[in-house]
Amino acid sequence: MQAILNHTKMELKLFFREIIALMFTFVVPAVSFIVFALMFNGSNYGGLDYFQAYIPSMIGIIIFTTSFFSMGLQIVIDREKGVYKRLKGTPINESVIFTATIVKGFFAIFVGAIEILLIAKFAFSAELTSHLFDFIVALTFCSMTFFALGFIVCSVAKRMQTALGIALIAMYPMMFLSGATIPIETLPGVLQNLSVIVPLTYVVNVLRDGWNGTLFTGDALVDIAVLAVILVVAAFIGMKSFKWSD
Amino acid sequence: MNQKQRVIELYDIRKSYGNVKAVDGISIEVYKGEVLGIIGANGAGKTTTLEMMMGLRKPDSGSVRVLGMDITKQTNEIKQKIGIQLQQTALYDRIKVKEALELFSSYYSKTRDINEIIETLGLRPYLNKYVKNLSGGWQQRTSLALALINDPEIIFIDEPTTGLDPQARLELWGCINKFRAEGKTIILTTHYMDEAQRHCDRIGIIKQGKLVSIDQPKNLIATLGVHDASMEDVYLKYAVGN
Repeated sequence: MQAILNHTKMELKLFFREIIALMFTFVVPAVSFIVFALMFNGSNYGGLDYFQAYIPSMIGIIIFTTSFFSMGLQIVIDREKGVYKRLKGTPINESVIFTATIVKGFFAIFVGAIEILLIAKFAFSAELTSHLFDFIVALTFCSMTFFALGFIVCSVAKRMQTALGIALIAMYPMMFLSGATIPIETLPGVLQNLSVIVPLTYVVNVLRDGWNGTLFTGDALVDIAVLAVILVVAAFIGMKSFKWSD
Repeated sequence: MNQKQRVIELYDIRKSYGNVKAVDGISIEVYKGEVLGIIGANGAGKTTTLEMMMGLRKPDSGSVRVLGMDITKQTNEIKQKIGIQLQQTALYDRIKVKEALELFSSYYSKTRDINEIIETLGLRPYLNKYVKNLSGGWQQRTSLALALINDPEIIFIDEPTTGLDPQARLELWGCINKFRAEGKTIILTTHYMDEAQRHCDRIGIIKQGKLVSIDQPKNLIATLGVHDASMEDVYLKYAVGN
């Protein structure tokens, strides 16, 4: 137990020293949120106001960046350096390393989410959700799904450059075709069709359902089902192919 | 050393990567308190052999016993009692020396006094520095410090002095010899024959995954039957020649 705590504390400490991870978790989403708020505050998105639509959206982006950069890319970097191989020579268990990584992921996402909420409340006097429990459930579920995808990235990528490439290429559809930034309805037909295969589309939908109190209604069913399938399949592939050391 | 106590027993271990036989049937016994050097060309199978002793890799066949325990069954007990230093420093990019020491000491049930290790290896001025910003020699010392943190009975060191300048090499050997004087068993690989000759009690030569010979340096040299021969000559004959 002490080992899990110590190792997790160290992972968190190291996370706060990684400029790239901090940028993608605490700067890019927050700045996008502010810029879009200044541009689109007052618009309507299928019955939702800007904040009802974009608070969940930006938190969705944090889920993506955390899973692909702070977790996926970082694991590949550490593995390439031989960190996990060295740890394998100590009594510490791989499950401890895994737990610490997941805790770090949730920590980054929840702190990033709180940052967005504080900006919304204090900079824009936005009304926050009255469905906090639903939102936390949605956030946790969506995070787990993307963590599983993050582990697939580090199963596929052996080198840091590969992982970085995958994460950067994934970033464009995740940001622009998922409805997280540009409303899907305003996209041309071709791109609207493409949004169906972008996993973050479903995250954005489920987070909005959580935020606006429709998580446990029929509206959310399809999105939840798609994410559940992604979670199960990705976790299965990850368990089969992911290795802490070569 | 009189009644030789075996701390490691490798029996006919084999390991292949695809079609390449990295280790092809090696058996070695290592005795308590000795410094055993493993030499051989790059790709001969030194590191793979060492990593199978450390429990980092599973042999395809054969058995590895460390301190009387089967490495596949009592892995954790063994890991509590061995210290390892890999070829690469193998630490997080943004960890400081002191943090690494504290982190690693939290993994073990028994630990050696951290301050003593810091003093012995002269790490005090570097404690608050990032490991990756240190020179090669100090990175190696940090790795060695981590290998010692659980006061291990066996210390594995993979190419401890590669890439270091002569002074750093000398100082590192000073540290290694200090732990040998405490009765630790030390197993290392090296490319420096002068070091092997001077510091190792026995030397094992590996070539193409097989153990060609293992003996005291002076005996290995004597087999050449040449006056004034050295370990360099032994290496050229056994690790390179046909």
